[in-house]
Amino acid sequence: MAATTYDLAIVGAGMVGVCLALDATGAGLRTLLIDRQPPGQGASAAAMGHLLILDSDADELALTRLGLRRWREYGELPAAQWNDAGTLWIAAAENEIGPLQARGEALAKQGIACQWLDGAALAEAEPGLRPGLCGALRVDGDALIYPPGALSDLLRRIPRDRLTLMNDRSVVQLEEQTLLLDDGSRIHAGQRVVCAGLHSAALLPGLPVLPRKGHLAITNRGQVQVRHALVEAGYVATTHSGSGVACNLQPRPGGQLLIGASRELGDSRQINQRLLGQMLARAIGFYPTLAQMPLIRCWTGIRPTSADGHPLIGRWPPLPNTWVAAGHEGLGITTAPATAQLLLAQLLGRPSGIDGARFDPSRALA
Amino acid sequence: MSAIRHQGDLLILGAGPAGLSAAEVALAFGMRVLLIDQQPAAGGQLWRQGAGSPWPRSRQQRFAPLLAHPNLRFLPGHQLAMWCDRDRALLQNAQGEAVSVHAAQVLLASGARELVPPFPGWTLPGVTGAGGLQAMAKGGVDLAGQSVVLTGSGPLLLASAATLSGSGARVRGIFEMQSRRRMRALATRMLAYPRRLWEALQLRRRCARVPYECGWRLLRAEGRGRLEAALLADPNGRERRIACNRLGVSFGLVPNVESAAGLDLRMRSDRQFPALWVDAEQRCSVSGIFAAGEITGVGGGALAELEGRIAALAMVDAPDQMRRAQRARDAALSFAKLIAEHFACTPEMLPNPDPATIFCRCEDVPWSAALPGSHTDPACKDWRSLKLASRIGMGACQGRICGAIARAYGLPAEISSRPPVAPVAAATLAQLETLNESADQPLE
Repeated sequence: MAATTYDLAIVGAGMVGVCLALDATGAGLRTLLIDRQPPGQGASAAAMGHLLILDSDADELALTRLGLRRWREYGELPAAQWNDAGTLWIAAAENEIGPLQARGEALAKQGIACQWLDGAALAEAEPGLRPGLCGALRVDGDALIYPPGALSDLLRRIPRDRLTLMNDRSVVQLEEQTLLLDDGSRIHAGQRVVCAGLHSAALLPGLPVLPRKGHLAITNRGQVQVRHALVEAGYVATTHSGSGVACNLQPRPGGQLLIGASRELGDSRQINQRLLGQMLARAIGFYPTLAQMPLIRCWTGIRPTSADGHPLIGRWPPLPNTWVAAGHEGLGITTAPATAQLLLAQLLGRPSGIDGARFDPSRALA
Repeated sequence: MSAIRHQGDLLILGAGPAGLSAAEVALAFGMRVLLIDQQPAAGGQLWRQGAGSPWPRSRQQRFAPLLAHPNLRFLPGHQLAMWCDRDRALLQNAQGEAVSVHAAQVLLASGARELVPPFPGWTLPGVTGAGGLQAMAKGGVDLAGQSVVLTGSGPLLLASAATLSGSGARVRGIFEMQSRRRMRALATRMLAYPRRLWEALQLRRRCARVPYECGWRLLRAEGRGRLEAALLADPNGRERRIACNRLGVSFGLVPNVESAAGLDLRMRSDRQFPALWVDAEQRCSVSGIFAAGEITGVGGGALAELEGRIAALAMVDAPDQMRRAQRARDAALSFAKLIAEHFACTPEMLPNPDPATIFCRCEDVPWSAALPGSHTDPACKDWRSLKLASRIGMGACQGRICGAIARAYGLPAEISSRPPVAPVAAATLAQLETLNESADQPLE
């Protein structure tokens, strides 16, 4: 079989791969987007679709912020079901008020629109929440999308004369100059980016990505008038711990309520019944009328996370012309456009607009 | 609030002919039986009892003592939420409470549902399944004087016509898709099964004045805000408009295999619609689980009754009775095969939806989203891609309805294995937190 040559081969057609393909073809690169399954069926389909600002540190803030800005710059995404919901970070206990307010002040200082709602204002904003909650930090610019819809919208924008989409081939090995496919054929590409979720670790030995399983549940339509994404303040703590549950409720079009979140390490798709039960009980604790709402589906998704909790974005030194984007866990959808921008800038040797040093994958090789 | 708990030796899911017959045998052999059904009364679809149709005396005499038996706990109005393990299930009762049931042996006998394919106008009020219409009549809904058209394919149309005629509805006709030649051939072959033939003639006698037309096609339903007429094509292809305010449609039965979701049972590969594989004694591929009736492949009530009996006999080890039941079952199977052959529904018999006809009624997805090649996204070549792109099968039915339709039209469709089996309250599933001591152990 005659080898084909591309400027760029993107291994993994998830949200990062598609955002990057859009940017790369826009920059004139002949691009290959390759996956063993149709686009967006891995971690991208397991995501809640919450576009949010997170600020555990300045780098996370910069990446999520750029991600949100770029999502808005994409403009009309008809299948994305875009909802400018904003996020309410809810303080359930007195001792959560101080840290949340401090966080609000820090965000405001960075120019992120947010405001503090006291208990009464919170009850007015979301009457379905349990009475007696202490207040909430509202981050106004956060949004909700349906990731598979957004992904197919972006994919449709890519000019087909510059993009080759292969979705029934698996890359089994990165060789010095070529990609070896599962059918024995080879592809020549000047540069290659690996953003294939857990499969990335198989292609790049030593890449510290781990499977993290999350449960989700969704109600039938016509159930609720929730306006914001409702997230308990303790949610951030669970994202940085091994396992646990936190209340994370998101309104979907048609009055469905999407319910999260749980986290545990492991790559089994099996539902952990106890954890699912805990997650639902936790959500009901915050939103009592949820108890009687019919659930139509509960499922799990695997989201690749990194060993140190920060995504790995940048050059992968052990192999020539090889780049990686991995381990975004719960922020993969939010930051996909930012990750794409950062990678393409590095690839082309241009300024990226943000400092990517924190995400440099070579830290894993030290 | 914690879950209500029940324990027994045998858990039977479905109180239709198969489940009731199995319970009868199991009780006779001293087993403690949990009999579960989502309907408010025993009988299933075939032996449905309701305000409009009490059980005949013989059935009443046979099963009333059984339902009152001290070793039987009948749990009507209980919906299966999910299997927690191969011997334990989480249910929700009619009051919305969580119920946990546990038994060493399980019999899956959850029957079948009718296939109602989409056609222009099928979402108009007044259009239902033919079996659904029959269930309404049995349930006591007043259909007297209503003008009814029954169409599709299968013996259910005749049974519905009989019930509806008895309840005072004016059935304008049964419009069967199969050709007259094929139906004549069936009638001739039925001479070899005198008892079944007699039953069919009894049904026909109850709706003797209803025309039974063959070789028709269903085109569409019409009406402003409500059904006013059915449009059909006669065997010569001429369009016929038949005024009616009820249109009952059924193109056959689809086994309710969703009730086995999570048990990881082997499926039969020889059927258009997935059915559970069983051995000669109704054992499924996982030890301790049996299946009987339509869920193992549609074959009618008489076969279901025998299969339920065989499953229970296999549990109690009664070889002589088993042999007799198996012989009778083999005869019933050959009749079921005859019916299946003559009512085989081909894609050409199915109605043609318009591109704008709603396909997935839970998510309002039009037919155009499902037509092969019509989707603008080049990736939509399998059920999962189709679901993610169009949201088909993502609604309340989780693909039970639209998935079966897709399969009938030769489109790809997979059965959802995601709990719950049917919508249940969040509080019911929240019980999983404390219900399962062995929750971390995967199903075998």
